[in-house]
Amino acid sequence: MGLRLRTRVAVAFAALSLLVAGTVSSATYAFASWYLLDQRETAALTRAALDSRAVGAYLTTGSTPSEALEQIPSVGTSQPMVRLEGTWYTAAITVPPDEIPTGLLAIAAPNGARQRFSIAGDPYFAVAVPLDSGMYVEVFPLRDLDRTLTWGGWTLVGLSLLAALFGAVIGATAVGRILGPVRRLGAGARRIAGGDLSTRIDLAGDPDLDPIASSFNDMAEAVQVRIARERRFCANVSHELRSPLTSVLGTAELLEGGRERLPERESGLVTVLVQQVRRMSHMLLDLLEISRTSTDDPPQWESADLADLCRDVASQRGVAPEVVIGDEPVIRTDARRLERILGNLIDNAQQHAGGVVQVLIQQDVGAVRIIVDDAGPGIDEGIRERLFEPFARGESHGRTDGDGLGLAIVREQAHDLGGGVTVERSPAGGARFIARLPIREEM
Amino acid sequence: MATMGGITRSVLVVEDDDAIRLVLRTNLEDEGYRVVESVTAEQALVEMIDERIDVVLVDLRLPGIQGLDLIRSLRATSQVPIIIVTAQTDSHDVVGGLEAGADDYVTKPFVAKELMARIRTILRRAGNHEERPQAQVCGPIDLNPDTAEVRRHGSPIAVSRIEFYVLAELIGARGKVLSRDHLLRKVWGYGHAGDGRIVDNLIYRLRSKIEDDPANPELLTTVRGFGYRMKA
Repeated sequence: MGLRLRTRVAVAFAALSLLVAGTVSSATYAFASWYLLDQRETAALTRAALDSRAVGAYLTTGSTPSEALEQIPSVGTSQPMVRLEGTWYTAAITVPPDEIPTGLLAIAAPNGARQRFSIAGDPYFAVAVPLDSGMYVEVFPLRDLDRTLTWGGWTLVGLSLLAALFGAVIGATAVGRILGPVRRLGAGARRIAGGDLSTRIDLAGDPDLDPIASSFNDMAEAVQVRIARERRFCANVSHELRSPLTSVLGTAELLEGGRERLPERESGLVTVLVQQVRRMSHMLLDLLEISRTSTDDPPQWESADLADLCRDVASQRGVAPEVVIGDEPVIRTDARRLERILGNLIDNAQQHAGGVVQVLIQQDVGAVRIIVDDAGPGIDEGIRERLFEPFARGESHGRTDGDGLGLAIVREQAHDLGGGVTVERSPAGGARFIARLPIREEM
Repeated sequence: MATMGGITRSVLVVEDDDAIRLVLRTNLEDEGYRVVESVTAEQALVEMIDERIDVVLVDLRLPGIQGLDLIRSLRATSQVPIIIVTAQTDSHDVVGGLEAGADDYVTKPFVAKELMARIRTILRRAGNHEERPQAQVCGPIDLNPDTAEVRRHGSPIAVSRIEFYVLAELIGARGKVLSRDHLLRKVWGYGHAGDGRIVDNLIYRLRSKIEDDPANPELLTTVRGFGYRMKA
């Protein structure tokens, strides 16, 4: 489908209008030309009959053909001519007598034989009437009539084109009218795709369009309920796992504390046990973090020195605070969520991409960007979006320590703060994660 | 720190999950505490009367009387430090517990060592003379570290242990802003960034006790985005 709907409908309307207008115009033209020509021919026939009779009478009274031709009143532009004993006599030479179609002369009849013909592209109409001693022929030029018809024809063509244009405009306008509500639906769908599941479309009070809008709203409702249910399920499962995991973790750590009392074999096993239980515990906490909605846990807005906070988060993870460069804005944010965002981005760089190269803070109109560049090989464009899904992994670098939830948490938390996270290639060739957070006005 | 002046410190563990209770008991006993266990809130209230308890660990989800109500009942009669041990992550549960009078919380799965460190800090503040605040007067407030007593306009007001330390900390630095983080490290013994809501709730409780109009505090003011300040 190459053309837009609006264009297609406009073209269809234009074609239909052209067809209708063209048909009407053609019929009009055909009728008009037949009628005008018929009128002209009837008049010419009458005239030629009268003139031939007059010329015949003059010739009988002894006038020469030229005299006889001069006697008939010259009306309009017709050219009378007479043939006597093989010689043509005529008062004018607009039409040379040898141009008269010979077929016409053959069928000449007392009440006039007629034929249309053209000389050098100009149309003429000739009437032939036999005389006692020869032949009377009168030639009528049809050029003026032809011009009128041509002009009229072009006018009709122009009107048809105008009708087509008019049709196109009507088509485009109608589509615009129809597309208005469709566009609203599209905008709603986009907002839902963007994560705002509470999006609903206003009913416009139009009985034709409202069913579509309410179907859309029903669908949005169903999606929202479904996602909430899945989130709740995930939260419940994680929640129920907490108590048993707490006792397993506690027991494992107690065993670890008394490891020196254990035989070597058991001591090694306890180390593995503690490691894995800790890992599981992290994963569980991360799962809970993801399944927690912003309504369960609304952001705690407070002013914070962003660069300071970032330096804190970096040093907690053994990264030199000097990697944090750029602007030093004081913004209103939720420090815990910010810590989760930057902390997970740093963890990700350390676990999968050879460490953090720099943390760049940029202040913009209405938003701040926290940019984390890593020392890895970068991330292929094809998997960039998928990277933020839970348990997604980038190009595998063998076994890694992460639980696959870090970047999903980053996205979730950035979303809770009204922003988002994207990944691109850093100037040095590694991956560049950009968390963009809108600046909130003081409340 | 499990003993002070030869007396073994007692921890009351209110938890209905046997396995977690066992883990807590073992950890606490390894640290030298005497452990009193309760499976229900009702039993815990009895133990509080029968035993001399120094710290209470409360699970929020209990059979019968809920953890929140237990905290409220305990607070009504005692200034003992209360730490919530909860699997509930929902913000309102934790905040509810803090509002009811709990002093701190850990969420399951918790790292036992961290919990032990928290308990140690809370108890040390009470037992260590060097860290004891000086007797201080600030406006209508009169702080006596020997009796852990606070008087307002001369008449005693009931504050919990932690409330007492926070007040002492703020009065000691009166005129200066103390950040939530500072208080969390100093009073609660957090080694890393903790939940600022613990501080906020405690400040809220303190205000209702020391301010004439807690909604428009004059002594203990908030410095937006930075922390809290006691009037000099």
